[in-house]
Amino acid sequence: MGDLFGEFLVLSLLSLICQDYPYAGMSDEKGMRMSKRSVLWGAAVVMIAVVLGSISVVWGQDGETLRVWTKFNADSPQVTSDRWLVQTINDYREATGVTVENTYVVYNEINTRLNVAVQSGGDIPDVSYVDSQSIGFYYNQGTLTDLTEFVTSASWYSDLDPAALQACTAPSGEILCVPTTTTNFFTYYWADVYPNGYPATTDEFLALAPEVRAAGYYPVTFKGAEGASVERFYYPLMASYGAQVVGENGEATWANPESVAALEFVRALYTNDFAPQVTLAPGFDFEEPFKQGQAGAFVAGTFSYVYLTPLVAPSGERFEEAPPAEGFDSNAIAVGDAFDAGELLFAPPLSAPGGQPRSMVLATAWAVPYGSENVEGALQFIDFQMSTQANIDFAVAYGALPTLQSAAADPLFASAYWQAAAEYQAASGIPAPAWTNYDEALRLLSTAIVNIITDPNADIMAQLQAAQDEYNLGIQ
Amino acid sequence: MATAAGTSSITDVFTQRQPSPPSYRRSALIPLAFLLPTIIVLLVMQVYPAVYAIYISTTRLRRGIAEPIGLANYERLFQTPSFLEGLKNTAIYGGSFLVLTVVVGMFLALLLNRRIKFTGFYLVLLFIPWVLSDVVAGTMWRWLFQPNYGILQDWLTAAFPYLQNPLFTDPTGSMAIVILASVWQALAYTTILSLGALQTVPHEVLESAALDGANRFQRFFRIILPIIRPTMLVMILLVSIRAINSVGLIYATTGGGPGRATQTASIYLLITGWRQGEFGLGAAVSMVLLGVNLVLTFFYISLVGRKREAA
Repeated sequence: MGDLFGEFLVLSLLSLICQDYPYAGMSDEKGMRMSKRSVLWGAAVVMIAVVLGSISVVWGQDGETLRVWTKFNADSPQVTSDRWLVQTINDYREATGVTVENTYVVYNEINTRLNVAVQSGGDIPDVSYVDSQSIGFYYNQGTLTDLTEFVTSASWYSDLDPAALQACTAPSGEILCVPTTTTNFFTYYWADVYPNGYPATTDEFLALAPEVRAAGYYPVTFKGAEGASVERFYYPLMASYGAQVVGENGEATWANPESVAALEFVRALYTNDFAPQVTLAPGFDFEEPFKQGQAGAFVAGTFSYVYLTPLVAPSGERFEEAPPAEGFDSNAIAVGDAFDAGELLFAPPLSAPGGQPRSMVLATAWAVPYGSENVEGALQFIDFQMSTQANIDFAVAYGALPTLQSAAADPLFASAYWQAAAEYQAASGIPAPAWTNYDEALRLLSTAIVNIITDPNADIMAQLQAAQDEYNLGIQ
Repeated sequence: MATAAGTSSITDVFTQRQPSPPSYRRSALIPLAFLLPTIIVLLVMQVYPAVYAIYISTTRLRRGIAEPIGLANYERLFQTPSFLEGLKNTAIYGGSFLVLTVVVGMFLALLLNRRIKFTGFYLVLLFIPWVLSDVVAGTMWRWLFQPNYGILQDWLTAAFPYLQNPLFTDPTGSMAIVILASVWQALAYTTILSLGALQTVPHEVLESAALDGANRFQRFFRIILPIIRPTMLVMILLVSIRAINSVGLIYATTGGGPGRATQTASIYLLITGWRQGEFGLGAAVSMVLLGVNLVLTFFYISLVGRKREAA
């Protein structure tokens, strides 16, 4: 049918050119008349072509179609996880004949937009990527379909990491999603800047930081603004100081002395110029000081290696075009090579003095939204993703640990990088706080912390209390 | 007799020309019939959504079902610091944007009205920001002030070394960037409108005033401004509404940050209504903003009307 559209357009345009083009010797009036007729013809051709094109698009979709929402861009792949999705869509079509239509939704909006679609009764995908930390939110809103029966009867159920499965389990015991990877956060640092290793506690850090700054480096860079800053840095630090940030009913309990102590350290980072100001800008410019060798350390996720290419070490050595290191996706090689060269090292997150380092563990997952028109197709697609090889492929492309134990045992994850990631996750991993409205909590808490940083005279406890009150008012 | 005859003839003419009631009604319906398609489109595309938004603002949506909750959304809204701060930011942003856009636009229009060379070229230059999309313009301004590599930030740091923080991550500085970007983008609009209005001022009046000894300021404030006042008021109204409803450029430039420094009420509406999915609360915000816009509209229209009555 698509050919019909093309043939019609080409033949019509040819006939138009050959038939009515004014030629020398033709009177002006006749030429003008012919010209007008050509315009009318042209308009008619375009209209018919558009109609035929639309019809061809509809008729051209042979077989079943599955509508999927992900935070990966299959139309214009930029990073390894985007390329993984393109490959997966092709593999799935070859294996099942089903065409997967992916809708790319930006990473920090996919959970709320999925909820919006369900709550408004709008255009709902058959299956969607979700973040496990939003399970409490989804559960309260009734956004997702209960997958308990599907998961517990699946062939891969016994192979699934119980901790990851727990991340997809609602307070009622219902399993609302199928976890595919787990990720956590730790520290990348340049060996030249920290030759004696990265400090373990915030006190040690503040003692060493003036020396690092005097040498011309920012001691650390991290995401300091927007919701993701809470997940990556602020919440784990507050937890390390012993702060309880969520109540039994999903309410916020941010205003406590432990949170204040953690945020006094954060404020000290800025008042002493130990963290670059770009950390407070929206987006991902905060990575640049580390990528350019201007910052000594970087609070990173297991997935960060996917994005940190190229890298320039403080020594000036540039990493971007070496063969892929073991355990890394072949398209994201800089971190692995810098590690192999001994320039880049990894360390646990900073902890409170006398406390334990803490790192938030997040799971990526698949879920079926309430109102999905193709639940059977959705479950089949999820099942396809849960083979050992598919789980390995996604984990490496995304930059996270696989949730199937058979996949985690693969030699690919025996590299120093993944061993470190697994070790930090086991030693310092904590689940996401079960705030009833997770994204709103991230927004309000990160906003309060930025206010605390940008206004050195602001009372930390008062700021936290105001944000906490606003959040709790909203969930009543 | 003459009077009676005259009266009679006028009456006759009047009654002859007066259409019969059915045909009069028919002719009165013709304009309505022509207007009907537009009225229907307006009803469907403007009035219905507005009325529906009022309804939605009194509900809470769950799985596509609207649960009536009365005025609870409004009550919550006015207890929410984010929204109240958003209103304050809207006032700061809107007021600065309005004053700068109108004053600078008028100044540029006065320059262009002096019949200088290459006026057309200058107008094209002025129009470039106006035709840029908000996202493109916002991204450009973000990059210009980016703390690491922003060229304007580099210049600022070199010129004012005592500035502690980059403008982009400073609450006041980021608001200044947003206002600057918005004024830069909207200048074309106010300049063109002002220029059009200035060209309606009769030269003879200005020449007479000059001969009578009026200086430039007196001519501007006593003659030009009163003549172009209706146009200016309409322009101020439209710029005010644009300032209150502005989202795209602010969001693309700062995302409402740092913290809540540039989060206007419209940005708050975007966050609650679309990013958080709270349609009821979002609709309540939109109703409050609609109210503010209506108040401004009635205020400006009454100013125009009062002037006309005085004239």
